[in-house]
Amino acid sequence: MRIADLQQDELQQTLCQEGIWLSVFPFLFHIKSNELAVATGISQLYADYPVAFQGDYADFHITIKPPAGVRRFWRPQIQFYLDRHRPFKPLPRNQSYAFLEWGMNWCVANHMHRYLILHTAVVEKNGKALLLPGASGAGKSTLCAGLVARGWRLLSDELALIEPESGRLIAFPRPISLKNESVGVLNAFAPEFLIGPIVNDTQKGSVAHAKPMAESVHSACNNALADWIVFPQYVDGSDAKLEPMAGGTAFMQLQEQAFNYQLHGKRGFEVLTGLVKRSDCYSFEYSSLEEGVSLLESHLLGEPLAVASL
Amino acid sequence: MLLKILTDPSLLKQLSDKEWDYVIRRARECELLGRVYALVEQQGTYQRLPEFVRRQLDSTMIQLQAQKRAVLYEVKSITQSLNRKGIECVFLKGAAYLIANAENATGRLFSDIDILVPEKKLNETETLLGDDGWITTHANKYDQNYYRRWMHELPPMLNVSRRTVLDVHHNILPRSMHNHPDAKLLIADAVGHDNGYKTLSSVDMLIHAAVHLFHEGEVRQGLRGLVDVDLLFRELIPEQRSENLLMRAQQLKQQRSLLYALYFSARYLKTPLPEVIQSQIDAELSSFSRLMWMKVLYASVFDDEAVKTRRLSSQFYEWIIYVRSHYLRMPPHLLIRHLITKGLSSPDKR
Repeated sequence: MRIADLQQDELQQTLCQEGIWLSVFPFLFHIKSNELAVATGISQLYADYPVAFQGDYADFHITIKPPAGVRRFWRPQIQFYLDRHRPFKPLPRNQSYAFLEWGMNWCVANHMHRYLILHTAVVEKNGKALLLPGASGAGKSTLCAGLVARGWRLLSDELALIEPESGRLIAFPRPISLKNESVGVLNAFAPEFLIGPIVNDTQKGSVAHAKPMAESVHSACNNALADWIVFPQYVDGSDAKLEPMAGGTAFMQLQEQAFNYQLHGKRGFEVLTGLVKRSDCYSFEYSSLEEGVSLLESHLLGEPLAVASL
Repeated sequence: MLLKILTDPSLLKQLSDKEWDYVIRRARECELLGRVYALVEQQGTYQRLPEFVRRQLDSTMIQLQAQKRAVLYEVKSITQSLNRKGIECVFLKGAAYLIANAENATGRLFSDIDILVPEKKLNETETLLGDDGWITTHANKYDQNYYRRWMHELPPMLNVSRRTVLDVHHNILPRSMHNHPDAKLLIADAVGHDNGYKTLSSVDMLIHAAVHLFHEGEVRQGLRGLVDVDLLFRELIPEQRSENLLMRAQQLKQQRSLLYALYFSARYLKTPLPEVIQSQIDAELSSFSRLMWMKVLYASVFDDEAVKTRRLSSQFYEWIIYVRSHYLRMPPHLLIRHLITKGLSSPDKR
């Protein structure tokens, strides 16, 4: 059974009662919520994901519900729970769906240390994976969505999960998070993308999520090896510019994007250097998504530029 | 279920997915996943575990390894900082268990490093640590004053480059408590280990674990504290006479905490108590309706099964314990002032 097979009211009712067991490869999330926005969001954006109405276990048992207290009467808030644990301060109630997405990221980044986890978007074409690491606002999600619209397979828009033993990237496809102007940009670039409701005034500005292509969800169990690491930077008004980056620089920048690099010690260092050594590394400036995606595609899939090695 | 596993690890061989799910959630909540991992290793059942269990335990193992590296590094660097002025520090709790290579260090995850220094060396200690990148947290003036005037420790210190948190104690209970022990006695009995670092003596380590268990306001991890007591006691008792333990507890004015801790540890973790201790528990605690009250209060902290049969939620008991811990810490006038000040200051300022 997939989410798309359910009527929305059936989904909503189950979310309120026993919760749903949502399979988001490679993890299983048990989600409960009374919030309509959560049901709507899941129904739109997770349509292609397998789901069950009961389960013996889950990796994470999540509840999105209003916190206890009288504040609910004049300023409704919403809280994210992992079991009884509340890792965050409550947010305004209209952000409940985004809260679920952020909370799911938090769960994985803080509990799945068997993987080396990087704050990086990952897409793949012809069996070759492209990493797009970048701080918030660098434009990695927009670029990632642009490439996905051109037929690249989405492995992840936020978290690159690297299996240390093999150095392989484990796919963890999820709705792509878009901020502020990028919603309009993606809409213009690829109108076929389904984008969920826009929530204004979050701590990250306006936020919306784009539904991943069914193909990415169905082939999530195929992992990949990195071939390219491109550090994107959105620069207002600039021409798209792709420049080779020295391996050492790439390593240092990549390390800053790691959630749990310290925990992995020496092996973490080996995994990251391995990743950089096997990849062509670039820095990339762009302002127009159209131009950016075209330049990346022609360079990466056509003639590669000369790259300094580590 | 978690209690059953802690007392009989052979059960780990036959858990269903559903039971594993429950054990992991409960163990994660009380920070006992590391202990579960250690027991799985002991039983040699890792290879047969379901994938979702391995994912959790792998992560825990990686955290444990990282913690061991980090703690030994911090222990060395703190010792070096203080050595410059010849201050000897005694490591407490998690770091101490690692240094002393105690049984309960296996699989124990913890977040802060705790040290004990003589009270008159406190200022000097703070300065030396400050020179090496440890800064005080709690910028708020009231909090600073509160810690320094009433507590048994400085406000937590944070290492600016490594983000490690360090608690510098001058005692194991707050100054504001009427029965705080004489810290000089603790320091006098501290023992040096082969690795060159000092911890409390094994008897005092157990007493400290017992004291901590019943004075801590945050009890989500209460079961982990009880596991500490159980394991420390099991390791201690073959070589130490029970009488010595009781005498020391009395000397430190912590006999009641110790007896409570051992009572609950025997009740929930089947700690084998020698006759002398058992009769002391009977004599000291049975006369108090306090024991009943403690049983009610702590039942759901230690035993998750108890939650099912109780009318009030465990949150309620947790709240009472929180209030109790504050009440124990300070005389009423101080407590009222403290709660009002905390209540009025906005969370952001805190």
